[in-house]
Amino acid sequence: MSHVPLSDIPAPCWVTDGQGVLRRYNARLAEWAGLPDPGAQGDVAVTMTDWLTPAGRIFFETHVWPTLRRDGLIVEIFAYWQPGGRRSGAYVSAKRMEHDAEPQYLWLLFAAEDRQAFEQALIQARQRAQSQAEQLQEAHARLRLLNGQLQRQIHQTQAENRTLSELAAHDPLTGLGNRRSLQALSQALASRPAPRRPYAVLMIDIDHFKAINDQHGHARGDAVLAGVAECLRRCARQSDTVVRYGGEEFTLVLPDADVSQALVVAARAHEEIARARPGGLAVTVSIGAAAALSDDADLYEVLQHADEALYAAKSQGRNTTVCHSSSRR
Amino acid sequence: MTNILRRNHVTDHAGPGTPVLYAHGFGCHQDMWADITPAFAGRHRQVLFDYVGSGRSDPSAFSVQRYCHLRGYAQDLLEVCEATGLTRDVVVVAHSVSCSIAMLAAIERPQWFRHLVLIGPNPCFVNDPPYVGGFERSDLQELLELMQRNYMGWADFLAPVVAGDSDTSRARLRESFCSTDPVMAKTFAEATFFADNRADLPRVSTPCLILQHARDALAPLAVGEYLHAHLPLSTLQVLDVTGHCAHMSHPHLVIEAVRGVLKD
Repeated sequence: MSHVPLSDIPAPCWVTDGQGVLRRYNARLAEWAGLPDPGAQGDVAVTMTDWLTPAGRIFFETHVWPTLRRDGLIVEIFAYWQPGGRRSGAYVSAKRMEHDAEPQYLWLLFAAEDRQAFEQALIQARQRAQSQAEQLQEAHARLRLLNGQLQRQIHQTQAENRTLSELAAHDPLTGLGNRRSLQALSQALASRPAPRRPYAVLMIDIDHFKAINDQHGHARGDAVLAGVAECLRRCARQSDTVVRYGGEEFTLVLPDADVSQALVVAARAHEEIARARPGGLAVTVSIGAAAALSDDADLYEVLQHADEALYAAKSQGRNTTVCHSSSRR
Repeated sequence: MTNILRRNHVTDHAGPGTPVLYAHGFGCHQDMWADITPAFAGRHRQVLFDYVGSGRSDPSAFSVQRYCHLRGYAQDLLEVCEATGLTRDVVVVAHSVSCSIAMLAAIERPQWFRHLVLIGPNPCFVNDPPYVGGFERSDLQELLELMQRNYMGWADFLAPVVAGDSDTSRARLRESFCSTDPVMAKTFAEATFFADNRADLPRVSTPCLILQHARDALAPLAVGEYLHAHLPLSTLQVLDVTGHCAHMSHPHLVIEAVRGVLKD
């Protein structure tokens, strides 16, 4: 390879032999390392190792030179340099050139100030990731151990999984579907074949439930919830779905029903709950009713309307049913 | 039962003469001997290996507990000897930290080894006046920092840790001559540079040939003299070499020296 014109390169740049002894360099290196002007270079007898810190010398001997000798290239190696006692971080890249059968190495240095802060942040991020990885590895080993036992218990595990998935959609206290089960219902309603008939929704809330819990304890509160759920199941038609919407709130979804049919079911619910005395108490409920206005109405929008109506029923003194304004005839 | 040959990526070249075991130094792996082994091919049995944590060793065999001390690496060396049947008349050619490792192995199993060829040994890198090891502890802390900084660009740092024994992580490690796994390399670096094996030197009964580089950043001339003074059966030979890796930069000098030992 012919001589690379080092003077054109806008960074400290130099050529060494295989021992790191300086052969040629540019003006930027002369300035950086405090060397004589490159034009005047005689025998400078400088080894680039002298510019490195002791740690840098180890790193170069154990990593950089072996890689460079084998692969002929190193890219952006960070080290601390102290030419003339001034210490600074800088990156160096190097490439082997064949020169009269004896290999020479072309080195290029660039300062590191800007990158340093960024890299420091990366190193910290890596240390965090590493400790996480170690934890993962530990967890991994433990999992492997457990896997043997799991293999033997596979049938039981599958049974447990089935129970779990039921629990995910069912409320264990009342045996009703929970709010999550509405998702499936919403999709089922939307995917009915056209022409779809409208449907209605009731939102049922137990009046003064907090007071029941406070006065009679949570066990009685649970009995009331289970009792109300049972009443609602009895009032509902075969095609209806009863859901425990949350807390003391229940939802009844009535396919193929208009507002008047929904109000019939609501009236039946009031009666049934009064008769049955859930948990042995005189419990009442407030009910909001709403109907789907179009055959492709979104279930959650109808639920919202029913909820607003329920709120109105509460403010009208409870133990009553209110129909959402959009659904009134 | 651990498969040592696979664990330490043992390479075994057959030959009728005295067996030679090559032990690489910190940073690289057994490929560092590529310019030496052809000189003895077909004439001597030559066995090469990688310490666990280096080169193409099995990363899943690594544990900080075992490899945080040079004894763990000496155990690797002895187990490789045992697995390959090298339990008599073995000549060990060791570089850098492997010199200390080979000495520890020879103290434990003196009857296995005939001669140790020690290239650039340093039994204690940290200065301990009047002993001159060449470095202060702070220098070695900085070395760990440099390794950490530079490994970032050299390898997907998480792959070997997370993937454990997966093929992809080994493939990645294979690409680089120098160690790239930060955890394993840091463990090796600490075991290497914070070691102090000076008290072990008088216990080495195996003959040693010390090949000291004339201008070595990792082992000042005084270290070679110290070793020569404290190893009971040693010869000191100073190679006119700048650097720490004569077997890579001046292989003919090392070949000549090893040949001399094999002829004895």
